[in-house]
Amino acid sequence: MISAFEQPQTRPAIPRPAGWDERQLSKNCQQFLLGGEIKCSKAVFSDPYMQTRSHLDVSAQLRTLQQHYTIVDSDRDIIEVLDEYPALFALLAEAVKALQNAFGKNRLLQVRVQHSDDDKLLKVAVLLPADFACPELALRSFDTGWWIDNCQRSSGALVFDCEIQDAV
Amino acid sequence: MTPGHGGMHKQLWDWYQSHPDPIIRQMGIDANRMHATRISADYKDAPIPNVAHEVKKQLSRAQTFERSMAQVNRQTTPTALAP
Repeated sequence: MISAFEQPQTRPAIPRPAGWDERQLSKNCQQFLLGGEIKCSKAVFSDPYMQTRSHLDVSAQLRTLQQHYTIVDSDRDIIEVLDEYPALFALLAEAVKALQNAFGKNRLLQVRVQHSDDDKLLKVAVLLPADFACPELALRSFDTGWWIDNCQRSSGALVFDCEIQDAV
Repeated sequence: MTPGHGGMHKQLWDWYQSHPDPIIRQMGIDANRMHATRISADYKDAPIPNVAHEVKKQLSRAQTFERSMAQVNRQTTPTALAP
């Protein structure tokens, strides 16, 4: 019998409505987080000019994320990654609720860019007090509750982890 | 590995995270966390806060990964890694 690694692979299906567009979802998330009304028109889905992603879009996304996340690195670094991986904005927006469910509300969420010689990824760190009970269990609960069903959208460019806040 | 799609680590853990088997996806999540921690250790000048704790956490995650690998390959977990 062959192992799971040797079986032919297909990416798990992501349920998507008709007319789905990742960039449109990003805009919707942005509007939602800003408390605005979400409007979807067929014209927006079908007009390729409306789907063109501008640097201004990504800057606006960054400002939206700053309402929930503390950006540790320079804006330019984050914008570069969001520009390269458009799906990350929607993931970060959706992750806020899942992180709250796993770690509780009002946790500080830090975002930084991790650079190596050949890789660049965004790391979200949930800062926890030293007396937080079982951070690894909370992290696993975040994984099983949301991340494991959505991580395939990240292209391997997004990491969620937790850190003890006042560790020396 | 495909040129132009990021480094080898990123492509590998993306493959894991895109696998239909949830155990393998979880392995990809765990491995990507270890990869991010390793980037902090290797590429940042700033000292890692609470490094002893971080090393223990990293080793524990590596053991979990090895146990999952044995499970997926239908192998017996090495004695040293048995819970």
